[in-house]
Amino acid sequence: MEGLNHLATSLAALAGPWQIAYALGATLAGIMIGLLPGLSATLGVALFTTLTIKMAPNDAILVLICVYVGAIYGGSRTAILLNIPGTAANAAACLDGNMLARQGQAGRAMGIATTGSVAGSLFGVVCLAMFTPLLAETALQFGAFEFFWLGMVGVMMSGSLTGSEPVKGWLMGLLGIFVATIGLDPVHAYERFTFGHNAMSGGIALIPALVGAFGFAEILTVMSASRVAPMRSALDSVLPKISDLLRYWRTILRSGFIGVAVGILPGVGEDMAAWSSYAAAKRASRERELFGKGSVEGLMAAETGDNAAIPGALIPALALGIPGSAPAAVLMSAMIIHGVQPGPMLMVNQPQYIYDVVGITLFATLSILIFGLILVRPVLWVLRVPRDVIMPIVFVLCVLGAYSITQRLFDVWVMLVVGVVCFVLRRRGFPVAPFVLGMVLGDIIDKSLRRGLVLSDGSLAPFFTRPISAVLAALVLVLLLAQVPALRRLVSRAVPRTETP
Amino acid sequence: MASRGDLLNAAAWATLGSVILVASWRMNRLDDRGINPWSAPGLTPGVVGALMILLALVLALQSRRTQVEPAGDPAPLGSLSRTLLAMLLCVGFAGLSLGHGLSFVVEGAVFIFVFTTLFSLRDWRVSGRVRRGLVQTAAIAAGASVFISWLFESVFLVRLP
Repeated sequence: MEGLNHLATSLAALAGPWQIAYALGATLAGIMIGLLPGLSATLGVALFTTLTIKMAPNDAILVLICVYVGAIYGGSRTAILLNIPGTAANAAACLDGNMLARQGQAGRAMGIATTGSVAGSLFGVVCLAMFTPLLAETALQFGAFEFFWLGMVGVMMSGSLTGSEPVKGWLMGLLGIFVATIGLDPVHAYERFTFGHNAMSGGIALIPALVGAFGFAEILTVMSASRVAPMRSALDSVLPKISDLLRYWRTILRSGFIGVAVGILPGVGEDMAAWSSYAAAKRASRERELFGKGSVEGLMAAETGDNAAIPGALIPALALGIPGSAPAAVLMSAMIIHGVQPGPMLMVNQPQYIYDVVGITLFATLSILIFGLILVRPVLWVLRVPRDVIMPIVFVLCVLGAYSITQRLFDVWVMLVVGVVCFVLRRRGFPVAPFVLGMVLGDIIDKSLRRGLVLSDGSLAPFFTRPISAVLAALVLVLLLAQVPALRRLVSRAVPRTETP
Repeated sequence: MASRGDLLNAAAWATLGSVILVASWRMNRLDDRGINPWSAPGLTPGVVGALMILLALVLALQSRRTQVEPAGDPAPLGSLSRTLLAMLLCVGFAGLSLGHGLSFVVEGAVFIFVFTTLFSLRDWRVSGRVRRGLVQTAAIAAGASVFISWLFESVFLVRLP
């Protein structure tokens, strides 16, 4: 009952003219960002974080969540029309979305993407409202030992599930944790790895590093690739068919659930949610042979899953202070900049805030429904602008974005260095997402490890014997052992092989 | 699939891990402040360095187990030159020219103009649109730089470098 009161308060506060204007404008900007290959939701949220620093906290978070939701939705446009995902989360939509477009059903495909995205987002919003308070209450029992393992699970899971080789993912996660230790030590204020430079005492700021990893590195990737000629596809009606919605309601529910569950997993993100939903839909479908050839159900599953993952990623971010995805990590940083401390104490200190986020995500969902129905054709002109024009403009935004947080040129250099390093490492098969998670979780891992050892006077026993710690430690062990070739062969013999898309 | 190129990667990571481990070991343990030794500043980075070395060894072992394969996809010459040009222009603009008293609007416009021109010139020559391309690019560069500067300074109240 109290939750409903909080939600009603949030929705009333969001109904102001400025808030509606912010929601629509930010969602449109997010759709444009998602539309353009090479620009990610993470970059969009990071850039807008710098733009919204001077705004009121709730207005700033409203803008950022709308950009996030808009970007994940917007990427489906280019996936359908060009077979190029606007963001990694829309890669699964390419398989069937583009095939439908080639069959003269581009408009129908976009209607399905809109329906799936809205349905997934609404499902995720309900889960966000229900599960965040529960998880936060559970997390009040967590101590230093539990938070250490939670951080390690986040980094290891991200390393295991992103990229093709877990060892490379874990190395990137460790690099992120190391970068997080640069600067003043949070326990004793001792300078670590600063080499005597004052600018390094403040550490490596997250936003400039993210802008480098997801902005500058992407610009270099885009400019190094060959040009792609846009496909001019005649658009049919983009209005979603009610019959599609009714026919595939099971798929929508299943994908929504999978999207939220995957979104909750630290660092895994919307792309994994989309693929997992797609694979599950294919396994359960009676029209399995259509998948990959223009399956309405496949496209619906992918788009429902990736949008459901957005509220899913916010659940651990708000309740535990552990982001479920890279954009959620940036959102968390933005919340901290605006004076909100995500984590278990949020339900104690600012219980209204969780429902503010629920209300904001609901507004963002309604905005993508509006734009999905009325703005398909006008928005597509963005795709005609050559990348040779777009990319330098994006880079100027990246420079200002990195600079504007603390107005230091040092942050611009951080953006440049991190961008070049991440570009080179990606070319050598090292994924960037675990590095981001490592940077975000490094502070928690560092403080929790040292506090835990101080409390136990150097004994490692509490890290493995406390009940919740034991479960989390076992999860880390499972993630490690899952990569041992002999064990994988044993498991694959014992478990029947399932189809993969 | 791991490859022999990963042997180089493993060596680099092992080197980085070793440097971090040694630097952490040699870090001040703040004995003069009487702190608990388990809260020493070098503890976490030391553990990170050690784990990095361990994983680098695993990566090296994996690379020795797999067959000979080219290390990743070497970038085709065309794309490598585009990458280096883009990198040079971006670092030159952001790292070297900013903060030296020049107007950001001018610097931004010049950067966008030069970047777009260098990457589009070949296509303009092929289609015979060099002059038109230059004029259009100059207009876009100036307009974009002015708009972005106005947006950051006047709407979002951010002081430009």
